[in-house]
Amino acid sequence: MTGEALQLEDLYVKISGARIIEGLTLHVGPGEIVGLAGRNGAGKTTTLRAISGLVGRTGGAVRLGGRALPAQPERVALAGVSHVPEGRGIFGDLTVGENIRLGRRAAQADGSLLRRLEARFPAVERLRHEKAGRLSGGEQQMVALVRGLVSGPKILLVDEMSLGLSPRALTTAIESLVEIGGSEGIGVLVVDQNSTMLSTYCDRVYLLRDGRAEVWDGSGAASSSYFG
Amino acid sequence: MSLAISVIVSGISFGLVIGIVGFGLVFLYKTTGVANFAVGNMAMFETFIVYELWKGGIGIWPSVAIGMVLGGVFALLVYLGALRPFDGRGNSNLLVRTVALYLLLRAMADVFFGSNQPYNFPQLLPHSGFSVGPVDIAWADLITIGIILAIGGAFAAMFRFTDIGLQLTAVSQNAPIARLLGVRVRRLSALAYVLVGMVALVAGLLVAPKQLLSSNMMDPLLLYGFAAAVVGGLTSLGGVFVGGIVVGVVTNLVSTYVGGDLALASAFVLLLATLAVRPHGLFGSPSIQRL
Repeated sequence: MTGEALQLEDLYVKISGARIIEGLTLHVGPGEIVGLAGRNGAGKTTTLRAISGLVGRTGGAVRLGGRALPAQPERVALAGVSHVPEGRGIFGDLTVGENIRLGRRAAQADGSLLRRLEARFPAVERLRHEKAGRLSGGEQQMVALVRGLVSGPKILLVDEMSLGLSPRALTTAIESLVEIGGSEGIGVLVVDQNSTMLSTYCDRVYLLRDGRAEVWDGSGAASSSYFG
Repeated sequence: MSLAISVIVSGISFGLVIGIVGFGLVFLYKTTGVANFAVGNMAMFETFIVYELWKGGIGIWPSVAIGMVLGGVFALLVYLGALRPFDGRGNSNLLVRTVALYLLLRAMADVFFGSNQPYNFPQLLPHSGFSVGPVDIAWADLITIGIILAIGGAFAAMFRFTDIGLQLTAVSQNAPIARLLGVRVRRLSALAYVLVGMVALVAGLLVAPKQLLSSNMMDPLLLYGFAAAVVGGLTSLGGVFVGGIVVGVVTNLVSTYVGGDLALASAFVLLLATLAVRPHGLFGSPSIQRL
């Protein structure tokens, strides 16, 4: 698999006239896992939604492998950027297997990727015939991650996966992401309030503040005062 | 008592015709986000097209077959011309467009086809019937029931077994998430319109021979269809047929035993009672909004 980098350059986003993102620049290389930290309301989710076209961009560029990404969710997905949204976005009335079948639409990935993912997330394979709405939060997060990965994307966006997960489930999830991203050459951008998790597992962490992203070394006094 | 049973059987048949109009409303509501008020008049307009083909002298069944294809094309043009442009302007914008479309189709039918309406539409189903003991049953009712159950079954199979059905389900449950997974929502909307265009023509063809063909023939059906959708629970594709049967049987019983003038009123009593007592209908789920 040839990886491609995701590049945000000088991104601006307004929502109902309010300037949320003002000149954000960051990049995610193939096989990298990159964190985006920031407090509640800083614009983390908005950044991901702007990448995948769920909210409009008012300025700047979003590129994948050097080519501009269109601002329509389905075309972004088909171009190889997979978005696991906040709240997981599981279709509760469908089975786990059907949820994952939907995820395979974006690319005609062969079945071997699915088998590797099932080996990494055995619970997902075991629960294939269950209604997804009946699973626990941790299990649903696993389904959402497999569904996001099964198309063999170049970039995976993951929004607030720590919400509602037990520390153990979260550790399993993030370790799986690190491993799969590295071995498949998928660049992963993780947005989370849990900055400890991000600084532990990510190759690089950006801090989102005043609509901009700055690289965060994870130890500075500025950041500890920032997070309070 | 035997009269009551006959009335109930024909009520079921009428109710399924109501159900299929309601199905058009609910199916479009679920897949495109907007129930199209013009569904009834799309059926009417398409039925006029079949009538014109038949008058042209090509026989009624070939006219029906060609009409089916044209019905799908017509519905696609309705979507592309009236609903697809600027479809990001919100659902109330689109809903008002469908009301305008309802009026426009009526006016166009009057201008193009309606100079001497109403017309006698050729009979498509046999007139005869049979008796089970004291109960008279019309073949036409049984055939109607069979046709609509077959259509319902075909849609159920599509949802259950095909990839397109899975995508339609996903879009109806959460369109933004479906789009994030690469589902092309606009193509699905176009497909939904084609399917509804064909199903609507079936409804028109079942109604026109019983009444007379005119530009307002689907109006009561649209209102009944709405009542059926509400009784069945607005979001339930199977429930709308059950709602249709409830509405069809009740209105048939009322018009037989109380008086024809009260048939429409009884449907609205059902609608109002459902909204007051069980707002999510028989099969709908209480709405939960989240993303």
